Amino acid sequence: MDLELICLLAMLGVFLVSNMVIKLPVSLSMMFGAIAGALVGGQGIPLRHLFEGTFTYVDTMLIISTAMLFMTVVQKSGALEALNAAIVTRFYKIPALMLVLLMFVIMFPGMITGSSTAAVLSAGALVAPVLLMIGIPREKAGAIIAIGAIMGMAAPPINIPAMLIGGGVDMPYIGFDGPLFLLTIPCAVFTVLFLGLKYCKNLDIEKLKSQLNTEIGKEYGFKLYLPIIVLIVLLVVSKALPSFPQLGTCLIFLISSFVGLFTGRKFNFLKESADAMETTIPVLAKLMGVGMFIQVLTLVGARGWIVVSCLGLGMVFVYIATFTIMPAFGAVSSYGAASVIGVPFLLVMIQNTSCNDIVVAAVLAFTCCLGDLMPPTALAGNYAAQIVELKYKPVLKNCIIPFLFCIAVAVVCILNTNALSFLTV
Amino acid sequence: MKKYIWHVIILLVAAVFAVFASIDFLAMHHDEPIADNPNLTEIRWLSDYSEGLAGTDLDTPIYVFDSGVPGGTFLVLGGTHPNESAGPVAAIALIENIEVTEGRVMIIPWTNRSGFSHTSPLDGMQDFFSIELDDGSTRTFRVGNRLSNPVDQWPDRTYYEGSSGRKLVGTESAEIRNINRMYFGNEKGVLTERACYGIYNLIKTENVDITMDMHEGSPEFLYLDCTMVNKHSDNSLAMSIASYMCLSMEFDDLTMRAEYSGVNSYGLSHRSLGDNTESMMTLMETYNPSMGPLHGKMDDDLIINGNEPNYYQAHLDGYVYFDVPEDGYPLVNRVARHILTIAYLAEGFSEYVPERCISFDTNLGTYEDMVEMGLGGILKSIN
Repeated sequence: MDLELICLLAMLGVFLVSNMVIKLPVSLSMMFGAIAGALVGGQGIPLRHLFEGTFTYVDTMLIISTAMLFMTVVQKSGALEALNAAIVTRFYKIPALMLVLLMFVIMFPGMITGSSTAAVLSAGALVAPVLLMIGIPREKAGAIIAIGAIMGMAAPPINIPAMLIGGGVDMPYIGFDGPLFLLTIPCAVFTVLFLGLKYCKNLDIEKLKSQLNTEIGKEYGFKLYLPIIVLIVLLVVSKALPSFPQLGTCLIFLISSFVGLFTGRKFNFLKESADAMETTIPVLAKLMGVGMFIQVLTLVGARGWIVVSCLGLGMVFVYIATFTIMPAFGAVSSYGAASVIGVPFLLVMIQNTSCNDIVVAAVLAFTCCLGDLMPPTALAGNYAAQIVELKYKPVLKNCIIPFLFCIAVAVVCILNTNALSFLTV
Repeated sequence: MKKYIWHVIILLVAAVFAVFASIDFLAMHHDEPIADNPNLTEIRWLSDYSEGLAGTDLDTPIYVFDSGVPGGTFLVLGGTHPNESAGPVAAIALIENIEVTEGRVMIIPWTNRSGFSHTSPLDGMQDFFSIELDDGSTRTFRVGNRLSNPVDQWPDRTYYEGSSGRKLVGTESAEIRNINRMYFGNEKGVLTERACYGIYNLIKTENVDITMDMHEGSPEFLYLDCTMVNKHSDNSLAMSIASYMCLSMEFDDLTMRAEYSGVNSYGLSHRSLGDNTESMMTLMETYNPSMGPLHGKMDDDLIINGNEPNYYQAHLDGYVYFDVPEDGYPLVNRVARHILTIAYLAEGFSEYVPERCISFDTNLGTYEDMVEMGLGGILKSIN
């Protein structure tokens, strides 16, 4: 048996035992898995690598932390309640349109940041109470938010896995918008209608109004929405106008949070933000654990071994692996799936079929994004579950049919890349 | 109270681990010693050409070998990407052995000196590798990262347009710390750009005739064993010199091709320095098996002997274009290839532009000689 395979089995074994038998958190289980892999691989306990792995996602962790502060401000100031009331009272007569629009709202932050986490934490958290209020069960609302956030992450203009895959083969990130829209929009619309439409018939607006806080909007007026407006404006302007000072996502969240301190209900910011951070720490720790795990997986050669072993099995396997192993790799990291599996798979497909390389890369990137649903990491899924106050398992169950629909759309696209090449112009 | 005691204990344990880890990380901030060469004229610093670099980790020494005989100037850049080990090792080998007889040779072994002080997360890279010399002593080299250390330049901007017009956005935004994306630099820009400006200003101030930027690529890369040449207005001369070098390499049974810079290669040395200076810009790549995402166990053997069964298998399966050697591609072969390319380029340049002749002896012999000597023979002992 290859040493790399033994390392891989040791890492997975220790991770699973730690998490499922000893019931340690995912983050610590991943750390112990990483240490086991390093020991078996003859690297001792590589402190430097363990630390380096934890710092991989430091930017993402800062974004998540500041986004949580923003969400706390929006919730506690009353802006969220006011927005819920406004959306429901305006769109309740056309439920399908209302749901599709809400889905686009969920997707929007993901589209401009390339991060499903940002989408869940910002727009997802704003829309969740609306979905619950109109009668969609918690587990389905969680699934809508999770899939919506992932569709936002996959939709143009920013799709990070597509950039990672393209970067790996010297392919500029140009011409991806058409294929990515074709992949994401139908899936987003299907998901929200499939999961939510049957709960939106015969909405009793008076009953809904009685559940909504319509007073706070009247009390503070338009200024209540200022933090959200500042956030959207700064995010859009910093992407659309290169000459605008680049503030960065974290600072934009902080500025928007600061604005929110003066636009609505007063609250104890220090206490509320500390509470918010406490709920965020497990996710941050999970990212650190994932970083350690991949670092050691690479250090001992198991990452390379996995890919080469997959490639050796032929084209049919490559196609099957694209729609199974690649999203499953998202359990560790969807970005990792793009760089570790996406790049060689794209090379394989370009070399062995007469396909349109941009459409193929877009499909691979889309499939990688779906990995954000995969437990235990499941960034989008876990946060969506937290927002609807459930464990992830029931939310995940409701994601299965939309996930399979997304895979079906991706399969159709990858089998017809040349017919879709007009979208790349 | 009990809860707080646990918190304190956990913090103390984390602090102990952090101290040990930081000792490892800080060790990378020390430059490798370079053996004395009596032919060395002087050591300058890049901050002499870009004031904003003074006192920063991106300031870097420039080893000047001036024959005293009028002629041209050859600038050699090693370590633009510190994880591409053949470049800095070849530069150090040249510094320790070269003897210039006409014109000048200037060598920068750590072009991105900041990049030598850290490694790339998730790539599982070694921080150091060691080579045993013929006299039994050991030389240790850093591996490093292709980008400047975030400790020196962070955070990466979400959008940045470099002096070349290259727009850094999305995942390319981290390239704002990549010297080979930020040419021709900006005296007042971010730190990495100031280093680029230093190189640019050095070339202009010292009338550098020809520049070689030494690189390596992972096996998936399409331009391995290839030299890129800037398409100057007098491009026939640049390509003629590069072709002279390629033919000379072929006579030594070494495959090498020359290609013009890509039309969209903005910010890269061979393109943007070539477009904005009079120097003939070249950039060479060799195959480095430790750099690719499919690499196996990371250790000295992989870095020094270049033996990578994963890539050999991927090549056999038809997934890697480059003809991956079954027995590996040792570092000494890659270093020898870089040194020989520089020597043949200087020879070709002097042939075509005799009034700016650059002549030197590497004192390392032919490609076969260098491979036979091994790095243990090429590198000198540090006293």
